Amino acid sequence: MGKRGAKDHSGVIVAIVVIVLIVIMGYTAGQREELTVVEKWLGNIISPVQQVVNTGVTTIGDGFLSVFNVNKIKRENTALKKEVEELQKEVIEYRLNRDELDELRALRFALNYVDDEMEYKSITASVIGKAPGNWFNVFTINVGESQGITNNSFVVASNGLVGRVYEIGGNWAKVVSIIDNNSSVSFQILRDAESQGILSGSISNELTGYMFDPLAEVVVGDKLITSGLGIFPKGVPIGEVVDVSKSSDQLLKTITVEPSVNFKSMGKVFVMTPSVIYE
Amino acid sequence: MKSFIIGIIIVINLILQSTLFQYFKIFDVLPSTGLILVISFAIYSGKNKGAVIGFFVGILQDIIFGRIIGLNALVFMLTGYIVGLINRKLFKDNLLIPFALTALATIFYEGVNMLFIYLLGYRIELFNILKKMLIVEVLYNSIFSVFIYIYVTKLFETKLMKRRY
Repeated sequence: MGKRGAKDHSGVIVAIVVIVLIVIMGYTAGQREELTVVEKWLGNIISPVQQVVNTGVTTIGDGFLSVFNVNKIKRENTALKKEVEELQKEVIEYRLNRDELDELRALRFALNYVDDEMEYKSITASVIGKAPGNWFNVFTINVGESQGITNNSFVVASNGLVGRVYEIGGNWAKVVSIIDNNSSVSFQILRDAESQGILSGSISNELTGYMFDPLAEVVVGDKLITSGLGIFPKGVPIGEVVDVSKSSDQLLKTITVEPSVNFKSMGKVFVMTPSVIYE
Repeated sequence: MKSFIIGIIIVINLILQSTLFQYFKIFDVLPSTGLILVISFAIYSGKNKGAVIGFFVGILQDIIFGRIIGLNALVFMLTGYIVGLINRKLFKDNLLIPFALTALATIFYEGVNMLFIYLLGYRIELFNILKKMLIVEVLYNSIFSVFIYIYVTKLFETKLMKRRY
């Protein structure tokens, strides 16, 4: 009898915990302003260990991969050298343009224009771990509240947009990447600021999106940048269009985009924090 | 002592999963070693401990990486509890047991996950889920589970020896 009573209890306890967890899920489903003490504390303990393990693992892993890819690296090297030469030519051109821009800015100041550009403070961070599980594309970085990042911060790599800071602990933060299922970015085509649209990630880690204007001209190979709507500032590169499709039953033009950041091998990222926060 | 070792294994697993195992992705799918560990431990420790282990594996994963706290904890706890319920009827030496259980548990895990994620207003693409989660992940997890099960079996045998003293 006693044994049977104990059995029934365990079922009841599990049921109660399930209900409590469902309530917690409902409560934490959106983005929260601040994490609870327990979560922060736990992350503060685990993230340094993760960082050490991750540094070791990536060093060894990259070493192994580079041994197998010597030929590829050689080819890449020659291609990059060529690119550097071309870029250097461009740099000279841009330097001239910049001088002109500086003059114009000075003029604008003299004419009492309102400065509408936000200033960003950037911090370099290391990626210390990626989410186990296949539903979300979330990773953790080794900077947090103590380094001064906020919920309004976003994350870029050297070649493009990575994602936004989701929740912050003491010396760590969760970042949701732009290819995550349910994250969306507003974009514009680099050559034509009028053609704008929205991109969102998916479970298969593909970036797909649509244009606001179904008649807008978009072709394979178009470069996309952020449009400045939403939390990302204008002009951060996102990626390149690899597929344009327009089905007859859909009014919108859908595009598939290859992000310029390689999300599989990310080591260092920059966290940009706006220094002025609009309430 | 036993719970201490299991706790250490759970934490080490979480750290490895977020770092080292990212290199073992096949078709962009990560083996869910947490789920496999929960099943293997639950087979040996019964429903109560199975549920507790599942809860802690899940809640750790949720806190460090999750977008929704409690989702993994819920599914892992239920998995641990159910596997623990039937553990007495299982012939533990057969390696087909972890294989089949992991396959079933993965389907259960993804099913419940999908339901809650859908209810919480996230986008669901059924075709991609079927392809990625159900076919690749079920196979990958099941194959992985055999190896982990062998090690867990060894671990529990040595520890039972310790407990007698």
